[in-house]
Amino acid sequence: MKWIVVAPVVFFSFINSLFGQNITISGFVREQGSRESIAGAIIFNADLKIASHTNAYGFYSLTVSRADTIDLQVSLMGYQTLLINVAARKDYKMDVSMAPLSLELETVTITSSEQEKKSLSPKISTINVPIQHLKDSPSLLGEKDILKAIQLLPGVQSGTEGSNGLFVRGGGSDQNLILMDEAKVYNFSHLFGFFSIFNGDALKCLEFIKGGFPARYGGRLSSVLDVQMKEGNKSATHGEVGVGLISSRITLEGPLKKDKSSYIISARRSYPDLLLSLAKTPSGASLKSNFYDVNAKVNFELNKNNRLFFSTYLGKDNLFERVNKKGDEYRNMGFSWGNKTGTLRWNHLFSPKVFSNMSVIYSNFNYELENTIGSSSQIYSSRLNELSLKYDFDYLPNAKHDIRFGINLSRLNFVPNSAAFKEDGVPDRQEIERVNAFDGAIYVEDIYTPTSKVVINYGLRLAMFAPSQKTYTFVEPRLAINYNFIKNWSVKGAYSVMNQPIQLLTNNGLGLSVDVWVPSTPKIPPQNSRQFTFGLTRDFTEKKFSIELEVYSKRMKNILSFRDGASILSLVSLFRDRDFTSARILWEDLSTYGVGNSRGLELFIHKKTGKLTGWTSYTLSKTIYQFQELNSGQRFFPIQDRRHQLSMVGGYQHSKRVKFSANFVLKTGNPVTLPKLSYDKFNIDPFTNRPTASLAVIDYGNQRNDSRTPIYNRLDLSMQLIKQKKRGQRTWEFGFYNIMGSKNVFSYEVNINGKFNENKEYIRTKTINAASLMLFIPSISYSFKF
Amino acid sequence: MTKYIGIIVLLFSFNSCIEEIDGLSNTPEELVLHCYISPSDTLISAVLSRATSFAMNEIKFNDLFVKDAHITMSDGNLEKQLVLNPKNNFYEFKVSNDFKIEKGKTYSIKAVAKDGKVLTSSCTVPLKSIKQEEIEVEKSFRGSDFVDIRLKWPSNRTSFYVLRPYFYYSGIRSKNLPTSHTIQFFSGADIESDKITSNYFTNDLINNQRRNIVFLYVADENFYTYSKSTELNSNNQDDPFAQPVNAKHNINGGFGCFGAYYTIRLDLDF
Repeated sequence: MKWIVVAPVVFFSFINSLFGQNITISGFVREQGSRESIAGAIIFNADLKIASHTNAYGFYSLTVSRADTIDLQVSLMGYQTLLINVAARKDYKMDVSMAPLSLELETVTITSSEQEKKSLSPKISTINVPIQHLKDSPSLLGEKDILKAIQLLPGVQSGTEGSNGLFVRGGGSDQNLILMDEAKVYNFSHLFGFFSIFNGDALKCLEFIKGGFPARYGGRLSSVLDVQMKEGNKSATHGEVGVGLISSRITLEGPLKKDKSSYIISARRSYPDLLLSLAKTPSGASLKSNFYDVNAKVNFELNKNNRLFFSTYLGKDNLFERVNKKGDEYRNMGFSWGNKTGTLRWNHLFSPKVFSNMSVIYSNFNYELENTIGSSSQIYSSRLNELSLKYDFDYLPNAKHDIRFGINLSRLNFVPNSAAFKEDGVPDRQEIERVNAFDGAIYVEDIYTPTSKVVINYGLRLAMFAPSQKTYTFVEPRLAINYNFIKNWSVKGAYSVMNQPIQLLTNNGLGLSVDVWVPSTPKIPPQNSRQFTFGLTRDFTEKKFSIELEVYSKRMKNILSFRDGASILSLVSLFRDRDFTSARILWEDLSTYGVGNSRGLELFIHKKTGKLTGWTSYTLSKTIYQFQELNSGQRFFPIQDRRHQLSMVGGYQHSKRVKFSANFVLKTGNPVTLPKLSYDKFNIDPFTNRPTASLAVIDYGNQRNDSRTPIYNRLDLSMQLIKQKKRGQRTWEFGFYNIMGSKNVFSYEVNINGKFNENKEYIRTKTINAASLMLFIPSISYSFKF
Repeated sequence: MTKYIGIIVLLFSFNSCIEEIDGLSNTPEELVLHCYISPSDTLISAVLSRATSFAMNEIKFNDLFVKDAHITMSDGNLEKQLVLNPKNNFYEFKVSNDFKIEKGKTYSIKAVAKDGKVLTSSCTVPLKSIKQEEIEVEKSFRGSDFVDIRLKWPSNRTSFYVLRPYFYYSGIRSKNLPTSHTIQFFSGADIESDKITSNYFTNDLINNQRRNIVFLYVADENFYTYSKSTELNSNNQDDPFAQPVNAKHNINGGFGCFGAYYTIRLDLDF
């Protein structure tokens, strides 16, 4: 293991010697009070016009020419800007504490830093929204859900009404790299997808990237959602409890050793099962559905150069339908799904210019469908385990370069299909298929600032994926350029190649978490995309908002889909019939792949500070898929294609005690295939050898998804009443989801039946019904922060 | 589908609604022709009906039949007219020595509706069938609820099979009416060395002492493909996860199927 420490030191010493007699000022930026590290803070020298940003762990490094003293400005929106005069005769380590802005200060501060302007950032198609803004926005049943807010960003489409589907720039729901403290989250849904697994109380910050991907990210085509959990307050114990209509939550954080180590634990438990137990389905079944999740993290500052973090997430959902019959017989149907993640990280400072992070990461997703009749049970399950080792370096040789490189090695274990049968409680489990795969990548990227007007992020990612019998290799160049051509104006451009060797075999249905993660195989090639993005950014510093206009073009290859008519239930039915031979090969045979093309224009007006915060986004886009084996090889609109989407998200801090928030969404309906005609099929009755009407057949026309649901619109409002009490701060929140009661279509249901009329003539009846959910949902919640 | 939607609607029971869609586009009607022929037939029947739009909510079943068409069948040499039987609304003719259904022979059918719409199709009777006595049947149980049957026959036979298992209840539940199991389809790779293995759920077969009857259809490709695709179409109507799928027809100018088959009945007593 010694080489892990020695080799980088030797390497960087050599590189350092190449750069003249400069000195380096480095350290960590933390929040005053809690001592949480702050990501994205800017350390800026106005004379030399050079800057450094803190990384995800709050580390910065700024190399400047030797001088007696140097003035540094440390800033970040939401914090008081600091002006520091530093001796610059030799390398200097300086940790900085930033105080959060109070409301009064925030509203009178004109601008915190020139460097915070979006027109100066090399990032393109990247959105950072403060967690607090996401937490403040109105939500379904009062459950704070950051994913619901992300769905309102430009270029992002949701799935069905209320669900957490994330379709970014025409991509599929599996093309999003969701990271929670670096651990991949394979399913982010609670309760049918109506809520996400992200508990806002435990989160510190997030970054959402949908184009111009830096080389450090890979493995998914369409987006990266990088979520960092809070580290826990290092100074004093604090907590928050919340009670809502769907769940209750509690968070505790505090020091383990003051200023050196801390913990945070946050837990939620839903209770719709309590409400549902009062109701019965038409068949007389009782329903139970619940979820829980726990986020926990500890961190230790071992010494000036070493820090250790351990974070974990555990969550599970359960849904049961139970039908009691006479006597002891009963039917029980249920499914459960859950994620487990664990991340152990070691931050090490090799030198003032070299920061490293080594992570060991575990991630697991599994689900189980169980059907019990009497004393027999059939259980169908699927799971995925991933164990990864990551080693990332951040090397800042001078003010013009921020070089990042690293390696990522993962071992994945897929069990797409597993079945168990229980007779009188004795299980007989059969693992139908197990696929092991090795996933590896190395990357290097440089954020290069050749002049004060130009920033270039270029990089290369070399990756491989090796399931059994096949090794895929990928070369992924990445480039993003920002040119600040006039003050407050910039043009940006980016190009990225992405590959995705792990995919979700899914039907675009209700998002009930019964989809199967499968690896690429010799038969199923990895998905691939190439994306161009161009943008124009304008900062309005005095009015504290920015406008970004972007156009993109994305071509996708090898997108995976079920073949016509196949679904996840096709797999389940084979297990019901114990047809394991077919099941072993079935998921590959049920799948097919094709190409996709998405183009769009996105407008994003964002205001992060002041009394009024929020954003307005508009997306004009068109996405077309084409599969040789679907829709007779003709092109069609996938369900995430929407021509127009307008979203407005606003929060208004009326006073210290009252805060209002609102969301408004207006968008084109999603494509859908509606029945056109129906007829009775006549079969041969084998007993009489005569034709007999056997079943109703529906004809859907020649074009898949040729209809659209009606225009979607929704207005949500909420009001928070905040009061400072002796022991803390209490908040009552009143919310209204879909206050206008818009009947947005959730799904269509086809009914073909028969009945006799008064003349005893048999009548064929048929209808298509539209189900609309959440017409007007009020909510109330209470929270107390101490 | 209803079940899944129902569960979700129940979750939001105070704030959801299900409404019938109005204003659906009135897709023009299509004609549907069903005709299946077998060498064992003594009476050939064809059914001509209508596929109607969902804009039409109710229609008398009797009115779905097209009763004024002219339907003919040809074996390449002779042409026979099928005449409407008003009792069941089927078009029929009795097989005679000069026009009978024979293996390996190709037949065509033509239906001309009064409005001038013409439907045509053709099919070839499979060349080789299997005799009942050639089939070896193996059966076994898994637990008390599942039965496996394996059917073997001499090699080089036709390659499309449709299996329809039925059972009769015995004892107090007996109503002397057969209950059908899930229809099963076998072709190509599904058939291993002229052997098919079928398994199905019987719900406590042993304790109910049921009589099972399995009909094995040796089919032409039209019969097989249409049967399989219509089953899938029907099953997917209740599957919220599946994309809709159309049936695969072999009728030019309309929907339906003109197919050929042999039937083999196997009585399996357990």
